[in-house]
Amino acid sequence: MKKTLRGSFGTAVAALGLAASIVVPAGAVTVKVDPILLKTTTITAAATVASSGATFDTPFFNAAFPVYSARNSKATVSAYGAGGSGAGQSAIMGNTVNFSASDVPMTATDISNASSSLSATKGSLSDYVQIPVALGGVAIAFRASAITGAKNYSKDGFVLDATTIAKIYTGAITYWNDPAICALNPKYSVTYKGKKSCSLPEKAIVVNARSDSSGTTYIFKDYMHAAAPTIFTSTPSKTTMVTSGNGFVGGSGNQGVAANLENTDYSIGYVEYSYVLLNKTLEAAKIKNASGKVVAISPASIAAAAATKSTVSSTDFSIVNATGNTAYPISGYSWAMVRKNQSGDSKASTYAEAELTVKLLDWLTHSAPAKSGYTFGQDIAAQQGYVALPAAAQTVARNGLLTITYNGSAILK
Amino acid sequence: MTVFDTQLPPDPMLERRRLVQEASAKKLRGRKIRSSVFMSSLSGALVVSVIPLGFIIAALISKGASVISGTFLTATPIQPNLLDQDNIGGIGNAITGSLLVDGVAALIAVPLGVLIGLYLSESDSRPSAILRAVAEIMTGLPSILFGVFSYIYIVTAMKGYSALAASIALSMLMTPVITKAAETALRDVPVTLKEAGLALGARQSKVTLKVILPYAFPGVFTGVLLALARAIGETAPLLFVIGASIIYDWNPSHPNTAMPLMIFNYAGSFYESQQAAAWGVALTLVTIVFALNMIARLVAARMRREQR
Amino acid sequence: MTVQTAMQSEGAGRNPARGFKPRAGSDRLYNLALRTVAVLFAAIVAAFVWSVLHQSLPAWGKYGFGFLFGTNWAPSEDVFGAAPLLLATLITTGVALLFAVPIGIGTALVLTFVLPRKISTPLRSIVELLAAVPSVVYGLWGLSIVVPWMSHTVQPWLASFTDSKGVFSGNQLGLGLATASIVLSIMVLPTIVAVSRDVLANVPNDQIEGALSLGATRGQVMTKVVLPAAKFGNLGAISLGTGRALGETVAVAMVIGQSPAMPGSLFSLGSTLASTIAGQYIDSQPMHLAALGACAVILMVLTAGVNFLARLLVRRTAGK
Repeated sequence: MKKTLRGSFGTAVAALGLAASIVVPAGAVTVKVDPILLKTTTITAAATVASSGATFDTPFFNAAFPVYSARNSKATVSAYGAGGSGAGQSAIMGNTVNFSASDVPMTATDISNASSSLSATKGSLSDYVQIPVALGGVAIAFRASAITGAKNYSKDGFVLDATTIAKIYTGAITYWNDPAICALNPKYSVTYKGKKSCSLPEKAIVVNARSDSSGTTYIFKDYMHAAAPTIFTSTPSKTTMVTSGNGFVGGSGNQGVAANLENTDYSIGYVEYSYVLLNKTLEAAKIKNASGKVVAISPASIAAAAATKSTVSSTDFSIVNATGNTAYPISGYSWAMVRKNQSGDSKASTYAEAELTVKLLDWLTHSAPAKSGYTFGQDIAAQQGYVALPAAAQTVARNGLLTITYNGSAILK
Repeated sequence: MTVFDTQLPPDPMLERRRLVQEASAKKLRGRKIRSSVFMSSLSGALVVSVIPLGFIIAALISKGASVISGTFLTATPIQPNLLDQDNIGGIGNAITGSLLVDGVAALIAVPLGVLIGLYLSESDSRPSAILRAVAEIMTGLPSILFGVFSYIYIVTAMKGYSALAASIALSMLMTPVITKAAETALRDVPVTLKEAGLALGARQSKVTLKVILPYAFPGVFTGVLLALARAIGETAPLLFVIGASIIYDWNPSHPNTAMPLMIFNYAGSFYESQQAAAWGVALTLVTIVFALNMIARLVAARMRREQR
Repeated sequence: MTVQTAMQSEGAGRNPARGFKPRAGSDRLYNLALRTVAVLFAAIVAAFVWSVLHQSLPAWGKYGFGFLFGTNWAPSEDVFGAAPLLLATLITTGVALLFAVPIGIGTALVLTFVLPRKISTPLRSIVELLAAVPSVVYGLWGLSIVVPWMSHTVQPWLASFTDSKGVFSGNQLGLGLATASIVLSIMVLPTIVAVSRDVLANVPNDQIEGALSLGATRGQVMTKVVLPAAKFGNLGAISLGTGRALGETVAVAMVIGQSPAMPGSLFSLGSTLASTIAGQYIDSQPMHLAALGACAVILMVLTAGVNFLARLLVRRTAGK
């Protein structure tokens, strides 16, 4: 794996991150920053917060929490406990954390299925506030030297759509030069004696998938089910797609899949966007979205997909298969869950702890306006390979946090 | 003399002896060749046995030594990002995490193991024979099963991951090892010592405390060190009970991390700097484990010398 | 032993002929304390076995014994059959033993009979150090060094023997059953060497000397006298090694490829019982968790059985 960032997108991310991390003396700020945001790094008394949940957010939180702690001398932010979405949900239901993160928002079914040891504290779905906390995309990464080495690759890329992807992942398409794939990539052709034929390699596709429970798998399955429901019939879940019969190559974690892809020619798989950024040998396929436009994965295209649903909520959260000229169709949010009534059945034992919880979440879910000289959580997320939450999602997060109360009154003011 | 110069008929016994010697000489050559082939294949086996260790140690030193520094051993982990991929901070909290988890595990396992070893050494009843067999079988069980046990009872009850849950899983692993070592050491105490103590009028408990245990101490100590060396290197029982942490934390009820877990996570990491760090942690871990083994061996050797 | 027991339970100084009940209060307390701890330990072990069994019940309820023969492990379809996992476990263990047993017993023979004590003692320590290396370090070494070596060098070489068909067919990813077997064999080797060495050292000297005096070559003494005499002990050593290989989790998980495919060749990716539990336990749905619990039960039965067998075999040679 090469260390240098790849492509113009990587440079853009780097530039944004670098610019955002320059701290300018407060008096020199010329751009207006939301007043509530400015107060997120001060709390009334010393407090500690704990959090746990999905591994998707680990790099983000591990990078962001120390930055926040450095700015807020009264705050102790315990290290994020990545143990999976399920563990995070159990933790918030059991009040052992102040907030937890999950790839998929909690549902009423999750609460009713919770283990009996949680029945005293779990409450009901309305006891919780769920806000988007991170945004990411899932790249369809592939390694096929014959394709990437072709003369027209840098111009045309390699295109797939929902139907072909779903067919690959259900075993209906098994060769790289399947007619359906060839139809999407007409530029890969040779003309012989007046007849045009597909020049894609006649090789079997080695299909890679995650072998462990994963939010990335959820978003991917969600996309296939939403965009090609007749082909990919199973409902989305985080469970591994690798079975004994389908011959998929399993990888543990995004890194495992990325490593397998690197080592096998003619293989395809799905990985978190940041893995394609970091990995020079992996190429991402361009996807033909529901509007018929061919889109490459990038922070801009993921943000465009997120923009199609400005009213995203914990009950209507899927942004896969987004329409639009530049929307990348395999994108998804990660969610934070926190108790609505912090003085009631929740982990917070003091007002300061509740205040810290809410302010930390507000700080995490916002980005600083350009040239303001500030860095907030989403700026750090961008450095880590996520896409900063679009303005609409940041508003949804803020609105959710405004409803959190302590002793009847809102904490965020 | 001339009488015996005449041609006597060949003595059948001598003839027979000559034939047998010829045959066995031929066979001897064959046997010797087969034997030397066998013996050289044995030496080959020995060489093959030792080579992998050489490779592993060479890899540990060449890849791990360059990563280790004062900062590496004392700082806490830093999350590398796309702009700064090389700064991974350090592994200090994994070292203290291991100390905490294994320390608490030893606190549980040593008294438990020694007491059970004591019980088994003094009893030959049917129940104790079963218990002895169970303890010995437990030393051979996959350690992940203890992690499952700790998850089902401790993690669920505490509603979260913790160092204590990991300690309990590890103590399940250590106790049978210590029991076995303790029982062997205690049974090795010469009967004459015990009888002398009893004959002098001391009570059983006093005899045990003042005579038997001190005598058996080196053997028990060796067992404890070996159990500890094994526990320090275990990853599987920690996987789903200890959670994760990037700060120094001495509270057993909080999630934590440990050296083997850090190696496991970093080995499959995204960033090359973390992959290199994995070797640094591995070298640290192996050094500690080897040191414990060496000390155990020295104690055992001294004990054998003293007892002769 | 009975005299000693009598004396112990008496608290010497009292009348030894007077029955077996301990008279001294502290002695009774002492015995009570020991017995309590023993019962406590037994209770913990029982809780341990029960917890794993209890978690697996839904899986046994749904599949019965067919669980062991089901050929499809498909968590996303809520279908669970353990045969691929069981096969991967048995194959990796089997191939590992194929290497570790001859090399291990051969090494033990050399250490016991051939080398002078000055060389054999440090060499023994070196082989035993292999046993002290933590499993995760084997995994790290396996992943960083063995896997690329397998993928670039060994797998193509092996495939050339069978023209990439049969037992050496399939993608040469470096991960897979073959690599896991090699790493396992190295991990199991020290166990076999250590136990076998102890067993061989206990072979009565007069048998060996007798054979030598009859004119047997060293090789003949080893193969026809020593090994048969140490037969049960060596089988015990092999059993212990088997137990370790069956249950090895972390190193295998790191190099085996984590795909529960029915093993078709040595290069197949696989997933053993232990590595599947390790990889899929977190965040799994209820039936999935039960199926993993059932795998844990199978693993427990297999390793306990093999260890029990080892005990019997080693005890038999030692003459207990």
